[in-house]
This record gives sequence, structure tokens and C-alpha cells, in this order.
Amino acid sequence: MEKFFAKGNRERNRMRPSSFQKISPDPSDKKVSPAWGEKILKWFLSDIEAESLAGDFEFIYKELLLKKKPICARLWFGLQILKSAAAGLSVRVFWSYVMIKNNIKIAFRNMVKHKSYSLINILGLCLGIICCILIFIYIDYESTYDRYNPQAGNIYRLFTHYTVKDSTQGFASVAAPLGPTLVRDYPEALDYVRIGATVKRSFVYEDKKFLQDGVFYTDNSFFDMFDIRFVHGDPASALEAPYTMVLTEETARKYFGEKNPVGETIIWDNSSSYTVTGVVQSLPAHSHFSFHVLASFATYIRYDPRIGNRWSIGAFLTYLRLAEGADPQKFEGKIAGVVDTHLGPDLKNSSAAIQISIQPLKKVYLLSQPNAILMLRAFGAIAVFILCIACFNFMNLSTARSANRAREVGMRKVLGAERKGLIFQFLGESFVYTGLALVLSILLIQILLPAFSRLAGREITMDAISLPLIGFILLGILVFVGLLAGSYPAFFLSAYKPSVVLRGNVFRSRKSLFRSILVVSQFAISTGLIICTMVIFLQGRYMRNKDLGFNKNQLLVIVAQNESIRKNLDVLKAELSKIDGVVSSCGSSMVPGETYFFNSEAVPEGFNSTEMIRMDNYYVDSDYLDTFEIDVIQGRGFSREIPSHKTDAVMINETAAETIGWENPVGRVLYLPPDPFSQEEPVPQTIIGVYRDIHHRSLYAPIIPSFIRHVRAQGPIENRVRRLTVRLDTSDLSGTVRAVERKWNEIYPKQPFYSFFLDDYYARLHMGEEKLGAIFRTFAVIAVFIGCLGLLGLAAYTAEQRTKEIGIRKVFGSTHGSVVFLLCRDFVRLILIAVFLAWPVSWFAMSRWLRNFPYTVKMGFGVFAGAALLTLVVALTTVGMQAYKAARSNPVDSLKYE
Amino acid sequence: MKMLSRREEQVLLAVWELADDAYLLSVREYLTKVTRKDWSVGIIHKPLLQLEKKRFISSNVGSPTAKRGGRRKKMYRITPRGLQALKELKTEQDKIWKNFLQKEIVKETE
Repeated sequence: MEKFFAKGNRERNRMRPSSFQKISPDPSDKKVSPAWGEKILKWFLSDIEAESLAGDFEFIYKELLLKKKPICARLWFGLQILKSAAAGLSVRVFWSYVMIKNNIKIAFRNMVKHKSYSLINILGLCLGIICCILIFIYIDYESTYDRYNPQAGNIYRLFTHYTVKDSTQGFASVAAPLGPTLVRDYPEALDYVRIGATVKRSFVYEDKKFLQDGVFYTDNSFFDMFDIRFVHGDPASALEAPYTMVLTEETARKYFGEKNPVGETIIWDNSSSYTVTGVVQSLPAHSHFSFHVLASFATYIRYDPRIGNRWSIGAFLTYLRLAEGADPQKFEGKIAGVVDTHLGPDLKNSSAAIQISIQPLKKVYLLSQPNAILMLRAFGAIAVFILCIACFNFMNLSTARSANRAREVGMRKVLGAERKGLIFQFLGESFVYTGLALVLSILLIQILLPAFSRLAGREITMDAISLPLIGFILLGILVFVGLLAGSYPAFFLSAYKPSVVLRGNVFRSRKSLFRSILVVSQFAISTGLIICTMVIFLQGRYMRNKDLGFNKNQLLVIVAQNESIRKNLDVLKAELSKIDGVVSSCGSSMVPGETYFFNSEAVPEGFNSTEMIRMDNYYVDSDYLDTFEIDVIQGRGFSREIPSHKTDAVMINETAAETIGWENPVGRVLYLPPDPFSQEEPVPQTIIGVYRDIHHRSLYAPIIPSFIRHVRAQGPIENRVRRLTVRLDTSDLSGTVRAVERKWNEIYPKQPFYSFFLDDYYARLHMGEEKLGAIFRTFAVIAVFIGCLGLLGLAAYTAEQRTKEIGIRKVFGSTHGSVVFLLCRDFVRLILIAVFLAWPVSWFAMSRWLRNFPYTVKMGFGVFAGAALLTLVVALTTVGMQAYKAARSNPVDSLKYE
Repeated sequence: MKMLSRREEQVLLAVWELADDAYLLSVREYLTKVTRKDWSVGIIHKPLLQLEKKRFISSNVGSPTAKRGGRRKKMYRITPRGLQALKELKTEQDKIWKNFLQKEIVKETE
């Protein structure tokens, strides 16, 4: 210890005397002051000032080092640097404030001086920004379904891949025992819920009767899984017992008014009575699933006890909740083949294979919409495109009009402005424009949002938009547009040489390659969007008008699905035929377009039992083919008189005959399951006829082999009459429908009358394309409009530039027409180039889109030519108006100009 | 004529005195020596800038020396205008002080 101190003292002493010997520091000393001092000074002061100050400080610092403790010297040095920096900073801030104020003032003066150009710029930017924000809001809305559910990250939906030979079908439903089995056998799976869809049911409570939609059978775990809040009733046991049900608030109000309905009973389909055990809040609109009534799954099992152990029929949406931290991929790998191990030997021996996969709840919505992700990407691209068109306007107009600013640039440079400063000035100007447009568009979006949600068919409100997101989007747009729109003018304008500019020799370019490229890309995008809109529209019209194989017009479908209706059906049919305007009526288990058909395995006569063919099928009565006007190609239809038709006969469609490979199938035998759900041995059924292919599925699916059988008198409700279809032939549709309803009420006073027209139903099925078409149309119109705004500005500018030339030409006898032609020629060339660019790109994009449809319209040359013509006409009108104005001006005035 | 503050007056005199060797530190050193007080850097620097702005002194950049780690220094030199200002100041002040000198200080010494 002693030694240590002694040594320390000695060292200090050794240093001390030296400081006395030298009054001034040794000149050969290297820099001893911290180097950061000078660096900091250089940020805030001019170079020479910083350098000399640093030198001075260092000198004193060295002196201090000798006189005082190093820490004092360092502190002093730091303080000096801090003080100098602060002083320098305050000067700099003051002057840059002066400069920014001046720049903004100049920007606003320019804006006010050239009102029409500024208006074009701001309007264009504003429109572009609005489109962009709305599209991003839409994309965000679409990709954040089901996020309200706090457990969404752990919930997965089971998905079946059904492979026969080489073709795989996927559907979101699985067999009833799968959920419970997985939870029992795998520790990761904590909970399951099964949801069974059902048809509309007639509900009767006292004097109130409704045909209730949105009815599902489900397990009690539903409430926990989907975060449902109860208004009345007990969440723990609401759906445990058979014949219990839970209603949403709105539905409960419909039947019970304001009173608490728990304990009340509602009669379903005139046959069974269900007790209300709870009232819940309905799911938010931002959820992929919605319901009005939930009945207990136990009821379903009571109906059909076999369902609980049946692995072959997958008819239930099933969701699993996995443990926190479980690896979904590993789990998926474990359960992929689980169905095969439980299936009976029948399916195992066959060529079919069933694979199970899982889909995260957060993605279920997007995965269940056809092409949703592709569509969202396309929308995102459109948003960026439209924004680009608006930016190009700004770039075009500011560079075209650069001559007017050239003198200002020259003057500024003479007065000592650096290029950097000018670049910042012009960038700042574009930020001022963008900022104004942004503020304007935020205001407009508040107004436009409801209209936009209607267009998109979604309930998007301001509340649904997360604030950080919108802030992020706005900031992104501000930076993107400000930089993109401002960059070219900034570099272009700041490059002027003052010596050239101030001599009055302003470089006035009429044609600039860069500007031409911008105009071409604007109109290429616009034309592309027009082509897309046209193709989508044509495809929509094609699907609306496509021959479905039957006559869908004037077909009134009445929902008739319970036993008491079925009993008196013949009476009703006879009564209906007496009404004026009713041609015929028929009963069937479903009507084309609905999804209550089955897909069963059929083994044709003479085939091995493993070579079955999957065929769609449903049940019809003897008047079906006549009422729907479906042609019978071979054989005959079902007959009321022949009893065997009701049990042993089957009709197949053309595609089925082709697939099986029978030239003359009438009289041959198909081995079919006795009813769609049965696992019993297939029974032989004789083919009595072949009918023309009809689209009983929507037009999104190709026609596949199908058969129809006569409706049964007993057995499961799936093979009995559930729809009564009436063929009308009248000019007074609503009157006839009223007459039909009156007859219905006479015969079934207790049953709700619910009917729809089949053509409306089909139109709704293919609504997606209409919606998409509407959205595309809106954006195409906006894109063309913004492009034309820019063109208008450019044309006006060109005309102004050539005022003298036009005057001289007119003096020498040029006509209006030739002047207009002169001014339009350049633009026409640009637009033609744009069109030729747009054609192949949009052809490629649209043929990819059309690949999603089995039945598509042909993209003829007409579409492309039409779009080109449309673009050309709109653009020419814009340019032509300006050109005509210039052409009409009196040469005397125009030659006096300047 | 523009007024000079007391501190500016002192700094300007120092620059005149130092002639070819006037820069921030030498001015400080000189003033410290003459007045026997500590002068901070800032208290010298600011009058120097002011004087330069009033064009009483001019600055140029000296050549870099190894002593200052290769850094250049900002050298000052009094301008004719500055010289004139000093002269006028002295005359003005003498006028004001004259009576005081005669009546108070001379009396005391007698």
C-alpha cells in the first residue's frame, strides 16, 4: 500500500516541476485536445472559424493541462466547445428559418401567380393520394379479419384435401369425430369447436313466424373460442343439452321484443321445439363468420346418431385451439394422415386419399376468398400506379414551365445560392404542394369513406382504421410523393447556368425525352386499367348471360322444407297451376346455384369397385325437367306413373356419359349409395335418360359428372323436397307472386312464405365480378382523369410557347385545322406508344386473371382497340380544346405577345 | 462615428499594439498582461467579431503552423478606419475628461 502511494506521489512530483520549467507548451507537442471538439465546431461554424477556434482552444487547453488537473482542462475545453457550438447553432437556425420562410413564401407566390397550373397539380395529387389511402385502408381491412379475437393467434381451422387419382379438391369442412379425436390424442390441441351449417328454418313463436337464416349447430366451446359476450344466459352450459339454442340480440328482439327470452321455446319447421338458453352479442362485421342462431351440436347428434362416428362425410367447419407456443407446422405434420387411420377399409382400399391441414384463423378470411391475396396485390399496385400518374403530372408541369423559373434560379445563383440550396428549395416546393394535397385529401376522405365502403361492399368506418397505420401511410405518401414529384424538377432547375439564363437565352424545350417518357407511362397505365376494366366487365356480362343449360328467367323458387308442407305439396301444385301466369311447378331437393348437392361415389356397371367416379347429385320430381326447360338428350325423364322411377331410376348428365365412356347409357346400371349419407352397400340404379349439361354449381366451377334421382317419400331430409320452383309466364310478375303467396297462406296458414327469383340468385352468386368491375372502373376513370389533367396543362403550355409560331403560320394562311393538327400531332404519337405498351402487359395480366374461371369470355381485339380508342379520344379532346383555343386566337394579338 | 464599447476599445487597441501578430490568443495574452486580469476566450472573441463587422479590423487566414497541429489561424489587422476611430475616440474622451482631470486629479496631486 505504502509503496503504491509513494510511487503515485513520485510520479505526480515528477510532472509538476516540468510545468514550471516551460511557461508555454512545447511547440512540437501533438494535438492533445480531444479531436471531437473540432469536429463538433465544424458542424456549426464555417470551416476557417472552426479551425482557428479549435487551434486557440487547444493552445489554452495545453496550458491548463500544465497548470491544473486534467479534469479541469477537459471540463473547460468541453464548455468552450459547447458555448461556441450553441452560438453557431443559434445563428444557423435563425438564418435557415429566414431562408425557409422565404422559400415557402416564394412557393406560395408562384402557386397564386399560376393558379390553373397549381390547381391542376394539387387536384391531381389530391386525387391520387385519396385513391392511394382508400386502397391501403381497404387492403388493411381485408388482411386484418378476425384480429378482434384475443386468441386468434392460437386458433386454426381444419382443412381437407381430397385426392382422387390426380385431381385434388380442397374444402374447409371435416368429419364430425375429427375435432374431439385430435383434442383427445394430441396434447397441443386444447379445444375444438364444430360448426354445422343448415338450411333456412321456419321459426314460429306465438304469432311471429319467420324463415330464419344464419342457423348453425355448434359446440358450447364456440363462445370461448370466438370471444362471444353473453347478454343473457350462462356461457358455460348454454349449448350442452339437445334442443337448446342461443340467439343474437337482433334476432332475439325480432321474436321477443325487449323481454329476456331465456327459457322460452321456438318451434322449428313445425316439428321440434327448441329452448332459448342465451342471448349473445353478434360477431363484429370484421369477422369471417357470422350467425344469427346457434343450436346445440347435441341436437344434431340426436337427429342422426351415426354422425358422431362417421369419418367418411366431412360436413363440419372445425376449429382447434392450440396451446400457446405449440408449433403449428409440426402439429400439421402429425395430423395430416389422421383421417386415413380412422376410416373404414372401404375408402382405404380405394384410390382416394384424405389429407388434413390447418389454416391460422387470422388468414382464414383471405384463404376462403378466391384469389383474395392476388387481388389485394393488384389493388396495391393500382394505388401506386395512380399515385405515380399524379406525381408525373407534377414533374411534367414543373419542368415544362421551368423557363419561367429560370431567371429566378439565375438570380439566386448570382446572389450566392449553392446548387444544394436550390435543390432543397424546389424539393421543399414539392413538399408544400404535397402537404396541401395531403391535407385536402384527408378532409375529403372523411366524406368519401362511406361511399367507398359501399363500393367495396365492406363496413369500413374511421374507427376501424388503426391510427399508427394511417399515420404511417400518410407519412409514407408525403415522403414518396414529395421526393418523387420534386426530385426531377429540383435537379433539372438547379442545373441552370446563371450566365446563360440571365442573358435571356432561356433554354425553351418543346420536346423533352424525359417528359415524353412520363406522358407515355401515364397513358400506358391508364390504358391498361381501361383494358382490365373492360375485360372484367365483359367476363361479368358473359357470366350473367351464359346459357346455364336451363331457362333461368321467370322461375320463382319457394322454400318448402318441412314435413307438413311436403304432405300437401300436390294440393299446392294443383292450386298454383290454376293461377293465371303460372305455367308449371316442380319440387326438388335444391335448385341450381344452391350448394345443397352431394358429391357421391358412383360405380358404373362393369367397373371395378375401386374405379368409382365422384358425381354431384340431388333429387328432383317428375316435373323438374319440364319446369326448368332442361333438354333430355337420350331416354326419358322421370314419370309419375312408373313406380320404379321413384326408387331405382337415375338420370345422368352428358358429361357423366362422356366420362364413363358409354355411347348409349340408357338401360345401363350405376351402383350408387342408397342415400347420400349412407355407408351401406351401393345399390344398382338404372339409367333412364341423359339430360343436357346444366350449371348447377356457380360458373366458378366446371361442369362435372352428375346425376339426379327422384325425390324420396321418406328418409333423411336431404333426399326429399325442399324447394318448390314455379315457372311463370307473365308480364305482371309481382301480381303473380302475390297470387302465389295468397294460395300459400290459404293452404299453410302457419308457415312463413319465403321466395326468390332464380335469376336474381344467380346474379348475386356472380356479384364478385360486378364489384371488382365497379372498383376497377372507378380507379380507371380517376387514372384517366389525372392523366388528362396533366395533359391539359402540358397542352396549354405548349400552345403558349408556340403562340408566335401559330400567329406567323396563320398570317401565311394556315387553317384552324392544320394548327390543331400541328399541336396534337406530338401528343397523339405519345399516346399511341403508350397504347402499344399497355396492350401486351394488360393482355398478360388479364389472361392470368381469366385462368381462374372455367368459362371465360374471349379477349378479342375489340377490347384492346376499344380501350386504345377511348384513351385517344379522351386525350385528344383534352389537347384539342387547348389547341383549338390557340388556333382561334387572332394573329395580331399573338404576334404582339411578349 | 460609431460608438465603441469599452471592451471593443480595449481589444482594438490590443490589435493595434500587436500589429502583425494579432489573433485571438495573442490579444488575450496581451490584455491579460496589461490589465492583470483573466480574460476568457469568449469575452475577446465577440468584440473581435463585432469590430470586424464594423470594419475597424480586417481578418485574413494565417498559414498553418505545426504548433497548432497544422491548423490555420485567423489573423486580425487594424484598418485605417479603425485607426481613425481610435484617434477620434481619444480626442472625444480627452475633451470630456479635461475638466475632470484639471479639477479633481490635479487638485489631489497638489
